Amino acid sequence: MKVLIVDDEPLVRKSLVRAFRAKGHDVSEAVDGTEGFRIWKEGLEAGTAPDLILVDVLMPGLSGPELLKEIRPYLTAAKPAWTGRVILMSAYSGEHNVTIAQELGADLFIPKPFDDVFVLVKTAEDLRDRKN
Amino acid sequence: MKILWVDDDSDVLDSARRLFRASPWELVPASTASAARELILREQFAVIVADQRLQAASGIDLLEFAKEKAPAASRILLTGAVEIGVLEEAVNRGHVFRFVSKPWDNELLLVDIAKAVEHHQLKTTQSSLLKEVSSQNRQLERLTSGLEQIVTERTINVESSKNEAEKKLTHVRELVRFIKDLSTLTSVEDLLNLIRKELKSFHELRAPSLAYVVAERTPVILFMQGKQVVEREARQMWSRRPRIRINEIEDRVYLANEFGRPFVKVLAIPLKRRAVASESSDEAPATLFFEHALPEEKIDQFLSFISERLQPLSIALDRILLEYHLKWTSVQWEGTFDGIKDPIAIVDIDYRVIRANRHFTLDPQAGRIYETACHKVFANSDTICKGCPLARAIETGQPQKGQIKRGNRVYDVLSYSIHLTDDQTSTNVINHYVDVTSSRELHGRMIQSEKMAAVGLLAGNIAHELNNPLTGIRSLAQVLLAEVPREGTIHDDILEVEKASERSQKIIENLLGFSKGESDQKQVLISLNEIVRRTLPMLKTALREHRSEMLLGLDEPTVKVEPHLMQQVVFNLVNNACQAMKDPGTVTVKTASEIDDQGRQWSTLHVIDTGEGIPEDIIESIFEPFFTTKERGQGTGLGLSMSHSVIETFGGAIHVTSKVGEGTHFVVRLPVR
Repeated sequence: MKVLIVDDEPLVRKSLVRAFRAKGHDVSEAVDGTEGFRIWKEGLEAGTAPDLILVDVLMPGLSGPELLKEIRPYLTAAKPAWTGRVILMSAYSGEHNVTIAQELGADLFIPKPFDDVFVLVKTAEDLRDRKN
Repeated sequence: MKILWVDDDSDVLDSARRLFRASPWELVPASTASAARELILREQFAVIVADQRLQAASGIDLLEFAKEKAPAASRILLTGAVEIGVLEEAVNRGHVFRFVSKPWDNELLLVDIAKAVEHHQLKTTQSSLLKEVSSQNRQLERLTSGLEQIVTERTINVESSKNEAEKKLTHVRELVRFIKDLSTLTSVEDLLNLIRKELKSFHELRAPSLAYVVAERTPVILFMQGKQVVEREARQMWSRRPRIRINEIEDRVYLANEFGRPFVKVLAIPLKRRAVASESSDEAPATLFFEHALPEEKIDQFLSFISERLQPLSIALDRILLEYHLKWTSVQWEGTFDGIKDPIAIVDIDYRVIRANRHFTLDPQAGRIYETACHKVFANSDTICKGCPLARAIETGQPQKGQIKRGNRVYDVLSYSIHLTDDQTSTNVINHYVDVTSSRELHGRMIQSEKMAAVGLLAGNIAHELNNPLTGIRSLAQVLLAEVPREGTIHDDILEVEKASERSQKIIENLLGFSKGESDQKQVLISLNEIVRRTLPMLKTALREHRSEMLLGLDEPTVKVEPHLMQQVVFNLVNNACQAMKDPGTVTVKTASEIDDQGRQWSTLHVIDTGEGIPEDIIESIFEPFFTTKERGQGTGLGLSMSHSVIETFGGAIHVTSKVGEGTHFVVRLPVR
């Protein structure tokens, strides 16, 4: 599975990258929403779009929700359509974040901190499998 | 000196004017006899010079007039031709001093005038001497006749009978004795008894009664019941006119109402105040009433008897009433000051109590407080209370404020310097103490909760910021754990990192709950023992060097708390206790069920250490946020303040007692739900 991780916290990014790679996934990373969108779009155009993106909510530059807004048109209108999954993460947990995630077309909201990074990897895999 | 010159010839008057211009005298000219007469009547002249022939009259006539009206003036007649007849007439009628014939010799004339002036002066002196002599004579006569009268009176006195003299003496002696008796009286009752005794000889007088009023108090009537003097409040006001009244209707009505029976003949003797000027002078403060059956002629006798005694009587009553007034005033002031709940004292510059109210004394049973040191009486202290502004008040003469402690109460002290003598330096100070303990506590708690709110806000922001890297640390640790071999120190070290970050996350979680004022977790009923048991594993490291004693109540005291937060409190208290002991010591953790003085049930947690103890000057600060005695980096200064507010949200309280060198004892009390 091709995974794109977008988070401004290097340690979070690093641990997620290592965890996904440990499970045999193809992982790329971005330090903020702007970079994330660029990598995602290049992939989409090259036919190597990620199957899953993990996006943090609060980031400098383009935030998680803003990134999702950019991606949204590609989810419905085809040409070229994207069928990947989106997981939104945030340290600011709370009911409203779940709602926002749903409205933005995310498939899952995961509050930070997560207890076990491998459980998260497993959750992501399940999400992909369910879709397929 | 004025000289009158009468002549109808204006040339003569002119030459006379010229002549006198250089002389010491003032010339007053007159051209007619009538003008001269007017001047003589109006003014004083030393010399009058008249021409013998005047138009309307003769000069001799004029001089005769002058002799009569102004006898002191010397008279000079001017004549043209000297005739014997004229001379004779002038001497006989006019009593002229000189004749001067016209035309005159200036020099001679001036000599004559000077002589005339001298003559005038002599005459004037003579007449005033004469007057004095005659007045002295009259005085002498009067003195002589006065002396004669005195001699006559003396003779009569000497001749008066021996009996009469003795009678007078007795009379005076009686009066003196009465005045003496009056001076020893101390009450109005005694006064009434004395009056009764004094008037015994008047058989037709009934026992006296006395109505009086002191200051603003209710009026009182005193009367005799048998031999007893009875005092009671007067039912109504009597006439306070300061005039002796005989059988007047108003007094009869008053007594009838007062005693409930008719009074036919009444004598009312008002006693006026003499000493106190402030008392309205038209009103007598006291009146003596006598019911009587005196015949007309004896009334006068009685009145003269009583009149002689009225003044000393009034003075004695005055003195007694003044004493009553003073006593009453002092009782009023005493009551006023004792009624004030704040301690108040007048002290002198040497800190000795001059006056004080009831609340000033620490121990109301203690005896003597006057002349004793104020700090001894107020706080049972041998030294001046720390913070007392008295000295400053004396120094500056201005009101001063300070704050002192008595036991565990805090007082604001207001010192007002006063002068009790005439000179302008402060002789005394009024100290007014206001107990501000509760308002201070309230203020302290307010600051505390404000600080806590600020901390909460800060904690919330920090917690979110920390959560991100912590998530990374923990996740990376998990990744690394999966990558390294299970056996070996690296695996264990990484595991420790993972656990530490987990604990940190929990703390942050609590901090977040704390900052929100409530945590997501619900309060549950739980045994305090269980909380302690859950917390102990986390304290293993801290307790490693010390002995710990667990005295957990067998009845499993229950509390309603958020277990996580409560665990945090136990952790903080035990952790602090360990850190307070530099050398190995004992930490005692005890739980129990207790009932307080008001019968309320509490579950209590005691954490007792054998450490260094907390110095008295900082013990009040230990619950303040960011207050720490630990080295930089060792403590956040948040543990106790967090515990404090956590316990408060559970409806409980946290107290501390400590002795330097012996240890500290924390008690957490939580209500049993």
